Amino acid sequence: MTAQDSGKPLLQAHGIAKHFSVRQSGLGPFGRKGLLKAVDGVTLSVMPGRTLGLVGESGCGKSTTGRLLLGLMTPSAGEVQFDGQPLAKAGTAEWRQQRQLMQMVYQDPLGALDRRLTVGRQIGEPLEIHHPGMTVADRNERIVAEMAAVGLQPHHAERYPHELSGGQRQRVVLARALILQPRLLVCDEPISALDVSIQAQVVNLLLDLQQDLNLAYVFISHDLKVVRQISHDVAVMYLGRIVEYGEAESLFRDPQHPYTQALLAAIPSVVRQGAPRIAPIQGDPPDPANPPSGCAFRTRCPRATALCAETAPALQTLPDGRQVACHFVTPDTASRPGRVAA
Amino acid sequence: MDRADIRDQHAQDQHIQHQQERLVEIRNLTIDFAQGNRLIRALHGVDLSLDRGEAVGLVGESGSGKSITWLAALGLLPGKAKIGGSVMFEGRQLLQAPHKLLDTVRGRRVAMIFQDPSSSLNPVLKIGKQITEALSLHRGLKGAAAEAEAKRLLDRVGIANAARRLSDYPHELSGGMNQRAMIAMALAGEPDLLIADEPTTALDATVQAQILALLQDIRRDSHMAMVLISHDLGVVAENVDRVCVMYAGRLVEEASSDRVFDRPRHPYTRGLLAALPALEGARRRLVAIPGTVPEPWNLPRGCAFAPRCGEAEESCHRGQPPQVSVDRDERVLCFHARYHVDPVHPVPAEPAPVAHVAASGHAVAVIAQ
Repeated sequence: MTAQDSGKPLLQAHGIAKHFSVRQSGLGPFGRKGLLKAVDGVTLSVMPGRTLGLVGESGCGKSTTGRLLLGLMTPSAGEVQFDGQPLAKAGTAEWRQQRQLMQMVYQDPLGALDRRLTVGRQIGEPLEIHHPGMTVADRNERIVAEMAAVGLQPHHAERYPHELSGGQRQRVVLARALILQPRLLVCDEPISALDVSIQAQVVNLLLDLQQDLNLAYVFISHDLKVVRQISHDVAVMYLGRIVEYGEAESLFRDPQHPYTQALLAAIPSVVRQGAPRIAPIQGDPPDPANPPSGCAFRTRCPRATALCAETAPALQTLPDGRQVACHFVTPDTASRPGRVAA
Repeated sequence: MDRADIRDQHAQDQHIQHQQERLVEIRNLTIDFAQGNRLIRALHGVDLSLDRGEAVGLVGESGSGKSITWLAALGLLPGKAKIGGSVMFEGRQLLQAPHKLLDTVRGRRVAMIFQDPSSSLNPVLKIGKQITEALSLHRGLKGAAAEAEAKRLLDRVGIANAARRLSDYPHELSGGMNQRAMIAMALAGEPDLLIADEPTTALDATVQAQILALLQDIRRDSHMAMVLISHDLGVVAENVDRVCVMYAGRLVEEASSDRVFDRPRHPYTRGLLAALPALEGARRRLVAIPGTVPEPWNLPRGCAFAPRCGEAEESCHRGQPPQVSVDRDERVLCFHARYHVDPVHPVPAEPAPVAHVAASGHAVAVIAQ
């Protein structure tokens, strides 16, 4: 947990939520109006130079959370603070100042780049916007330096995105995100579109950059193996809420929430260990526009009881600092090994 | 009849028996794509065979030729692709076969499922209609009989409330449900072989586990053979008997799945395994394979992997490596395969070799354990 570290968090979110009004599916414009709680009360913090992994199935709200953290969306409730300050109002001078320090990296680098501009021009574009007074020579110097930092050759600057490989394109996106010297990078599935051998290159690059530049990452991914590799802390989300949040190493070693256990058990591994595997959980995540009563995970949970249908469990802090939202995991039960046999 | 004759006869019998077990036999399959006025070779002579009821995994990065091998074998590539070699299905040649023959094989004896179920299904037709269509095409079932069979198939693939789901459109189902519906359609012809091309790549890990368990279950029941094409080594490791690793249009390693993941021989296979983060044990820096996969029109002269290989020597850059049959069912396409026949296993505990290993790209997965 970051709370036990000294120093001030770089990024803090207090009970942020994002609700969308939708019509119930299948009936088109005649469906009953409803509220889709994409993110529903998420509290988290990221220390400078540290990585928070955000995991969960598709539709659990992890990408929306990432956008809320950057202020790319206005939260329906709650507040995000960056470096102790609330996110500035869009369009103001403070907002422009703040934006330089927090950047985003998306999954598909080709979609994130402009196909008609050379990559050098695109890497330098943030400088044109935020430092219009900078001379061309200075700017070019910075572009070359940034490209070198992400492992690109100077001659790549003249290329167009389609002339580069997927891994190189993601390096371009990283260089562009880094050129304003941000302190926080929100990476939304940054390596999912890359080949296995290239994924390792980019993961290593992200780790090196963090060490050199003291960057903080919010790393959104469905690939738990990569999240474990890169994260200091991990938050597991289910249907818009955090169900387990804690230090990465201990969370992966001894997952407490039945959902975290199921997620980990579902990962196919090339190392076949003799330990019995937990049976895969059944079904799909429920429709976020029509969530079950009580605990959202109860419809797929092997331990669910009547209590789970009645009340939603709150996040509780365990002795080791981890937070878990499950009726069956309390500070008293946490001491024993948490794995539930199927 | 003298002794030699008897022996010959015996060998022939064995051969025939083997032939009956053998479902697919691909020999020296090549694919050239016409680009302008030159031909670009995408597949460089692939040999691959499959017995009845066997599960084979095909792994490799994008562009390695995993999918086109099977598209070519089933005559599903566009006309500008020139295909050479031989593809025998139950002793019948499929390459350049008349449509009449292909129609009895494709979809019926050999079914395929793809990565993105929602784009493989027709968005304007109900699930039930799409399954009954396959049933009437492959099994001649019509009307109520087809409807009942479609419902049975949806039940079989674990879709709850099958009768109601028959009248749903693909967009009303989740990704996992759509993939189940695709599997139901594939099963409509009661195939002997299912080619699953990245069947779970677009799905969440929990749903992926369900779909893979379903495929295993179906195979156990029906003795169906399966080719599982995936870039995810973990998915392959847990679901197949034999693994083929492909790189730049060639099969570079083939062996039982236990052996490949336990003692990979080809430097590329070892590189892939070392590049994977672990879920257990101490975190270590990933050993990435440097560089990228070469483009098919820009292949190096010698071994295609040599520019990225930590063990490459001069000879690797000069010519194609020979295919080394290490064991009866194991093949490796590498000049140095012989050196790795008896790799040091387990690896000594002192940390010094790890540094050496990382530097030379000589990473063996066992080091991580």
